[in-house]
Amino acid sequence: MTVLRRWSPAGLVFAVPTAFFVIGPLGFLLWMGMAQERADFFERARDLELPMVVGQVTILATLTTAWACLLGVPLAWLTVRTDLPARRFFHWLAPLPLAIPPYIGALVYQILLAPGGILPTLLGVGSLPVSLYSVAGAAWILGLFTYPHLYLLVSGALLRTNPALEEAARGAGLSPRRVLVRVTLPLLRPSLLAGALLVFLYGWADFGVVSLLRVRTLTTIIYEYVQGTLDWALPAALSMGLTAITILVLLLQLRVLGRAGYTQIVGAVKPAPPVSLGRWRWPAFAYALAVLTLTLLLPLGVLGYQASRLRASDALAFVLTQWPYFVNSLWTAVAGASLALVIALGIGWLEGRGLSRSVSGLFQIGYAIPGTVLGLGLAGFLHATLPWIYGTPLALVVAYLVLYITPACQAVKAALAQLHPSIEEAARSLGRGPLAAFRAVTLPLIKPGLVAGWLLVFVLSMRELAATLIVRPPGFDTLPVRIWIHAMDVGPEPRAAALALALVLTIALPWFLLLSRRLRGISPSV
Amino acid sequence: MSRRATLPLAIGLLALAGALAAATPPAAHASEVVIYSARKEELIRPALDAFQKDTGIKVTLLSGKAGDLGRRIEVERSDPKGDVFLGTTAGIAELLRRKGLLAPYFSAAAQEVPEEFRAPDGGWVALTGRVRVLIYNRTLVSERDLPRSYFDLTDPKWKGKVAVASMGERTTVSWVAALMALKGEEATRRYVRGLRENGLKILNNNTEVRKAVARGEYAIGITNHYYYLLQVQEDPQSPVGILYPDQGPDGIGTPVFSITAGIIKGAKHPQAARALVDFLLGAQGNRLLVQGEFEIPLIAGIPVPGEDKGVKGLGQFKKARVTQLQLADLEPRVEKLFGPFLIP
Repeated sequence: MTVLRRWSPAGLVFAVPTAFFVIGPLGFLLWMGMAQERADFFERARDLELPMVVGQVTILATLTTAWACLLGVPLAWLTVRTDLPARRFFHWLAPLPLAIPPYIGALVYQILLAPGGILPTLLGVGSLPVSLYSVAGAAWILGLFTYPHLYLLVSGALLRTNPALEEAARGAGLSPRRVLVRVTLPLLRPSLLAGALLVFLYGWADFGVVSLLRVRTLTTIIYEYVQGTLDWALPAALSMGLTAITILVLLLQLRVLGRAGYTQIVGAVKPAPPVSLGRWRWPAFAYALAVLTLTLLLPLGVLGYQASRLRASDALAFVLTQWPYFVNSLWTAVAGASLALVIALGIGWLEGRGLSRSVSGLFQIGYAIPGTVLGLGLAGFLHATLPWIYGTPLALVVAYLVLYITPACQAVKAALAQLHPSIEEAARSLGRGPLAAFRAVTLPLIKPGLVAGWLLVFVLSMRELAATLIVRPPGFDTLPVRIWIHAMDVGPEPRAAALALALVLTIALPWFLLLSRRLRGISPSV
Repeated sequence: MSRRATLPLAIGLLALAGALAAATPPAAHASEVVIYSARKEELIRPALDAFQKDTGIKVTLLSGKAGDLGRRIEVERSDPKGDVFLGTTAGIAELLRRKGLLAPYFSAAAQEVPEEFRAPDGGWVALTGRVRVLIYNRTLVSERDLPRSYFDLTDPKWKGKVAVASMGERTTVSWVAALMALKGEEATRRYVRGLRENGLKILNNNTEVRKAVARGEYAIGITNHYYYLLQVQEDPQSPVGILYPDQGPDGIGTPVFSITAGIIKGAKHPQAARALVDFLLGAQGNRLLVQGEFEIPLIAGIPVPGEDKGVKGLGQFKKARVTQLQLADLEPRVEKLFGPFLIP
């Protein structure tokens, strides 16, 4: 009976179709990889120096993670726990660089730092001593534009942990540094690990930045073969390898986090008295300002400057021709986010009541599939199984759903975790039906969490590039695709910059509104 | 209705409307043609716009790289979504033809194109030509130091100074195929190894090659002739020069590649597809194509863009003696042997 209840029909209704879309593309790739001749695969794999490439990607992902930690973690501590000047302002803006997709960040820093760019021209040199076109350059960009993941998780954890623990430690005579090392950091460990792994995986599977900066990774090799040849075997085999390693890292994450355990204390926590920075107050301010400059102000400034070089007469015509692409992006992202949220809500509700299990675990695989791989597999799979979706914009909606159902599930779960089923049961005992009770009691309570989850999926879908490039139907380009075509055809020139600016602002606006609402808990600085 | 419900409802309606619009199959009327084009969009736009204006047939363009588009055509075999394939060399078109994915079409206009630029069964036909030249930075290399041949580039004096586009650009594959056709596999292997040991730089695409050479990051770029013209158009002050290698009496000559057009088998709009091929091979369409792309014409009577800047038309330089079909035949072998070395 309990087994039956775990996999209730309602659970299956949500789980089966989504699982179909998550597993199907991988199955298709596996089949294509196996069906083709394999004789010379190993020879070519040797020529590709795959161990070297995997090593290089690992270094890239590690550097990215370290750099993102360096940017995000101190900033989180400073804004939440200290008397940093303008801390509310920083807390408000720090997550905003998520609106800038890393490949646009790479475009910006190309305009700034590449040979012939703004800085070398100002300095009067041909090129800078350190090349942007390197593993270090790619890690620099990826770290700059992924650090908000860490910032959000760590600052959230800092806001939730009970400062009484730290006070007690201080009372026991520990120096501030010892308090940090012995109490604060261990408390932050789960969120730190979660954030670091998120950034690590991003660096590991990134396509846009490494491609623009000519760093050889598994994704760029796959992409070169997809672009340049009709070969299926090699890209399919590499895709499976890439996905397998990513899933492995995710499993590791589950184990590590499982052991670390969550220590959040739910409920109202007395805000901590801010740590006085003393003479470090202004250096800390300079540091926070530097982070925001590199990740937000400078990119927006450069894009704005580059876009302003478009002649006014050209600009209007350009806007008119690009308008449809903007609309394409907007409605597919809205549809993707809405669908993901509805499914996540269904699953979250069922899982929260023990009606179905580990469905969201299955979806994690979708999150682990790099966009390039998903695009390749999804195109073939959809055409074979659901030809009425293939070749229509719905294919993009499906791609967004598969890629980003996990963040939606996490947001819903987090929102639902805060309320006990008894609240809803109370409503039912007063004579409401299950749906009515859900609508009258649960929904209003979890709405902020849902809005946040929806926005997150919307933001990620709006900026998705790798899978979109492969599954978009003829005549249905999105904004990121147009940016990509312009950037690849003629480089980071004004039109690419204008499109990038439009994309960033579209993503930033709702994100900005959301962020304005989460300033509670951060008291105004003096 | 409460104000709170309006936003989610609006979002839901927007998504639903979009999904409905997407799911309704577009009416398959004759007045549309879907082009899968590996060509830079801006460069072929003028010719396609003229076609749309002349015939009233709506042009839908899907721009991508040749391999990506070819794979789409393969996947869509049972239900083609595209009508015409435009490739940047003959390689992918020939592979598609062999897999039975292209429908033969003997356009009357195609008879003007020299035979070496056509598939024997009419599966594909070349529209315009591109010459595999060297471009160089005039401030870094003086006239008399210039290489005379591709094979000079393994000389230590060019160490770390030469750039070429990656395999994602089919013309790079075609170029190696031309060397293989004329010099044999062993010599080509040795040559490519020599280039790698000499620090040949692989960039993402030909645009990066022209820009890097113009900026002086590399002295020499192995690329197609119209990139020289694109660079001069973008910045007339660019210190770039163009060079036709292997022109000497014992040289292999400079290879010529072509934009190829093929009609996809089972295309939804076969009439429109044929009309498009006819148009692009006709005097007006071909002239627009040649001018827009800065390519060289394969059909007599069309002026060569950039002639005043040193670009040569067919017959004005020693052309490598290799047909488009020969090149296409060798391309898969080139991918296998050298693909791993032609990635950034």
